[in-house]
Amino acid sequence: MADVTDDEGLNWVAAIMGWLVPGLGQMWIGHVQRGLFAMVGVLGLFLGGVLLGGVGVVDRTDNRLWFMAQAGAGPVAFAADWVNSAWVKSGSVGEMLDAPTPIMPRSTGSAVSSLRSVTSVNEIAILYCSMAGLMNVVVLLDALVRPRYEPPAVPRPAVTP
Amino acid sequence: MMGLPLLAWIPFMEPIRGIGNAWWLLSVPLIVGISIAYKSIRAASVERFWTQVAWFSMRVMMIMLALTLGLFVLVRIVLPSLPV
Repeated sequence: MADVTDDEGLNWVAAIMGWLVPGLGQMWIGHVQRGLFAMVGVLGLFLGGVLLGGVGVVDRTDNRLWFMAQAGAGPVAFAADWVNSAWVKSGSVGEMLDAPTPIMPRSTGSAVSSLRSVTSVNEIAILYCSMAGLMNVVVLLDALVRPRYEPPAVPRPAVTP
Repeated sequence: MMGLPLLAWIPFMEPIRGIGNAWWLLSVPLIVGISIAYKSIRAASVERFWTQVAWFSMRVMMIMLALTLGLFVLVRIVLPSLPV
């Protein structure tokens, strides 16, 4: 499949692929090693954040502004938000505890999951996931403008009569 | 004693336990992760990539440490010594 580039050489397909899977944009244009390193960095940060604070740190309704940054990491952020809503916030996993007042300004219900992280661990875990999203935006912008990898030309042997 | 609560820990679903007051140490892997993503696109060459990441992470940590010390001196020493 040919690259879709406009007159200024912007590779939109690489950028979109880089959002779908961090680092895939660089791999698409031939910079496989760079793509792998970017993938390790972005997904490492995101999964590290979820590991630290639980999937509840990715919350589209309660932490809307943070989620806007986290969404830069791609579908993995939306998947984490879905797991949080479907499993943790609904009480399917863990138990629901009575909360006398909503713990977040946009919280809807009066109960909170026992799996929700709090204090400094919650804050730094949210920061991990948000930095993953923001760094992936930088990475996919790089894929947008980076020239396709051209392997070094192999000199042809001289032909002697 | 820390092993018992960890037995019931569900990774990725609930927060990790036992961090306590050492939460600030988590800034080290955060810096390393950011450095990996940054260097993956900004390094002129991917040769000796991990060495470049290590140096970059070290520089960021040193700058953060210097800022911390500077703010500590400002808040705890300089400002209290000013005449009211």
